[in-house]
Amino acid sequence: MADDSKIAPDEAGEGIFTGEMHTPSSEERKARGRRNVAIALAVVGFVVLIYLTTVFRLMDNVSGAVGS
Amino acid sequence: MSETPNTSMAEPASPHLTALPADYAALLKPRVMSLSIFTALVGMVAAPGGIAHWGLAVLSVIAIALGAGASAALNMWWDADIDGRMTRTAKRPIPTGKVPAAEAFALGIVLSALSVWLLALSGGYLAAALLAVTIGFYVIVYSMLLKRRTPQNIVIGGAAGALPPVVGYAAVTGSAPLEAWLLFALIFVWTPPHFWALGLLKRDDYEAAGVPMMPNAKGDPRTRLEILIYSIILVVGAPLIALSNIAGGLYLVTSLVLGAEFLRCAYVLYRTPDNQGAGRLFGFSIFYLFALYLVLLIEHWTGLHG
Repeated sequence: MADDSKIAPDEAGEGIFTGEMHTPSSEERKARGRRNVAIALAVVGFVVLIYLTTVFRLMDNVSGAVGS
Repeated sequence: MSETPNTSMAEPASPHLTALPADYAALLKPRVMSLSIFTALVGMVAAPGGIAHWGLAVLSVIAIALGAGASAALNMWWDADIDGRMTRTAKRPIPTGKVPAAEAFALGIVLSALSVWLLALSGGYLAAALLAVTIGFYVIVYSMLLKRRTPQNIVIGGAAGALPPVVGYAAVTGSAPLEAWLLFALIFVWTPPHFWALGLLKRDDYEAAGVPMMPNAKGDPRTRLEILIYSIILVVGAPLIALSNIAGGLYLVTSLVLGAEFLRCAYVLYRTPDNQGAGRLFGFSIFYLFALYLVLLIEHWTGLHG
């Protein structure tokens, strides 16, 4: 088993497994929840952006084809 | 063999565990982002024919804004060590421990890819390529190669900040002719006097961080002289844009009037050994660039240009 004491405390935030478990406080849980919601909204937002781009491009091409 | 987790409730929470979405948004430097949005929009409006499809134009602006945010996040990731040593930047999310550097890097890379992808779809491949060059230039050329090595860092690195109007122009026309590069040149020449005025004000900060800005690398007198030289080039060059078909009489008059004040501020700073005029020049330089771009916007919306 690795000697976890050799891992610097600040490495815990860099995704390196330290073997320690942390039970989040209510403030931490609330913050995590808000981060999760923000990530979900960002993903949905990007999908909407791509969808809108596709629709606008199709409209452009259709109107171009009708005009020619 | 079963291992019992070592749970800790009493230990003080690491700052990143209570990080909020706003801390991640701060990585994108929203104020710089808004400047990129504005200049890119002017680039679009100033292009011949203007904005033919507003929906695609808005999506292109969003993509450019995301690209600017991505490069800011990558810049903060790379410069986290020096940001922590400067009072101006010590409260940024990485130095305070709110956001781990690796997460800032991941956010920057993902946003870079998504912004270029979105712009390729909405504004075409040339605009997307220019946006990719902008991000790469800011992060690799400016942040990684120049910033800590030479006092010319912001002169060359300024190209990244000057590119958004060209990206905007390319997004609506699919091309980047000389007119688009005139908009680039305006910001490019404006950048040195603007940032060196800030450098004079924050000289100790840059000294502490070991960043060779002109004042701490070459001294205040040389900086004031270089500010004056670049100001003369800017003030003489800016009105010449009116000779092209992207600017008209209103722009010419505005650039001459504001240019005279810009030059006066630079000259006052040049003549004052205690750098007292640096704050005035820094503030006025922001107003100067904003006003010239705003006039271009007004001229094109009202048909006064060219």
